[in-house]
Amino acid sequence: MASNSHLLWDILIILLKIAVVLGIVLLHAAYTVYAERKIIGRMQARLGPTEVGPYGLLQPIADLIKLLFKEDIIPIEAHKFIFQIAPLLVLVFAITNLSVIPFHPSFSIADVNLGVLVILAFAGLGTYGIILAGYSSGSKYSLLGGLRSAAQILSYEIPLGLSLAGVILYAESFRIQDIVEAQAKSLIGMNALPQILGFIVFLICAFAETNRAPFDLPEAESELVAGYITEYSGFRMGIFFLGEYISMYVMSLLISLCYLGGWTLPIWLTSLLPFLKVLPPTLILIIKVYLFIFLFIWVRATFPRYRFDQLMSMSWKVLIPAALLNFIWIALLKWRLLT
Amino acid sequence: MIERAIALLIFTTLFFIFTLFTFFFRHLVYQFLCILVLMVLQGILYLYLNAEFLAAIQVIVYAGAILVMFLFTLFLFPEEDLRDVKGDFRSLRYTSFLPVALFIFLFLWELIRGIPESYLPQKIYFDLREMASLLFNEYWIILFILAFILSFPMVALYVFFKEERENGNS
Repeated sequence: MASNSHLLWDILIILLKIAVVLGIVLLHAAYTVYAERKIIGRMQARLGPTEVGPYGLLQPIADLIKLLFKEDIIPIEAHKFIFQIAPLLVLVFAITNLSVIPFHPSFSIADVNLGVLVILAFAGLGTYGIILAGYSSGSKYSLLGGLRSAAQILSYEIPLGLSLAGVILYAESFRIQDIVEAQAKSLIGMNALPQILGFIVFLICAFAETNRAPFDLPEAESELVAGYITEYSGFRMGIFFLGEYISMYVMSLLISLCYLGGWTLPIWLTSLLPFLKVLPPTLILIIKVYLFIFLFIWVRATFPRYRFDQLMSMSWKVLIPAALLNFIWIALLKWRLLT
Repeated sequence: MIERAIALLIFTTLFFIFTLFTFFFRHLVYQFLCILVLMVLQGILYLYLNAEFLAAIQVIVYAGAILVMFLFTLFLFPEEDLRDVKGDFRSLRYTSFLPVALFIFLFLWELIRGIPESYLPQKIYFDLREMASLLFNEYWIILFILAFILSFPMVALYVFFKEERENGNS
């Protein structure tokens, strides 16, 4: 009886954690759309949304209501079942990634030993949503978008994994909390500087994995109408966007945790600016994540889209060798530290 | 413990169901989706053997990368070639009768015989490793025949494509 109540209590705590994380992340995702429109508007000398609510702050809610009440169209040529589940695959796997990410030294939904690998696994599965959406729509634009997505994700998963291998080797653990602790104990306080090559490779791959500009070839509007989401409308299209924005947060969290020291600040920085010591760990992490979200938006407003052959050459000819070099460098550094 | 056993039962049942679905679907993309689910389920079964690393690699490499290449290849086919895979079942039906009958007979025989006393029921039902050692030590003939029967889908695919190629040539 006692063990049953213990189990129920554990389940209740986990459900509460899930509710807190989901609530915060979904709200963030909705307002990232607003922030993106405002920031890109300012970069292009426009105002962005201004009409709904003060400073257009209620625009995400208006967009959500519009998407929910729009007609859900399924083309005759579409594979109905796959067409319906594809957006859910994208969203579910993006959200599941959040379950292994620690937001505080003592707060994560699941404390998994192989946290980094679990994120890579779910990120790999999430791409099936995009690929299958492209196939099931029964449109050649969507199919081309799906094909592009398959090739892009396959090519960029390798350098992404290889760059993370350097981080794992340095921390000697797959657990994200251990990776953060290893950075906090190091002299520089973050992996981004000693592993600058790996950091740049990971950053570029994060853009490609989330299908963000300049790697948004699967949904290139000037070539493929809207790529894999051409035939989607209403709330299913909204789910795709939600999945994309949550993936952006997952990647930003992962970069912050694996390369920028997560919720810790380097010792040299806190000794230079002692008032930073009072900042709560979660706030430090959130600030780092916001920096990367801003970078995602900034890059979208600045860089033109790559050609597909350029995209492929960059992965196979530049990023993979660079990630391998980074891995060898970290192995040497580790060997030097040990001897 | 009991919730682990129930979950294992559900996953293994799903494993068998999706194996059968792989064979019975008449569309290559749907068959592919079943294989994808099987790869993920295989990863979950590795977790029951406390092989977490292998489980993660199974999903990243097989489900996440190799199957994407499979799907990429399928997309290059015209839609008509993907659906309604045709072929001659007759030869397969005749050759499969004997092993299936033998499997059913041995399965019923072992059910009557029961599990040997050296295996504790609690260990068998709650520990996947113990269950595996029981299956491979005591019921290896049935497993061998089952594996033989489960290789039929591969033979069937060969028959389908051979038929199609011959029809295409004529």
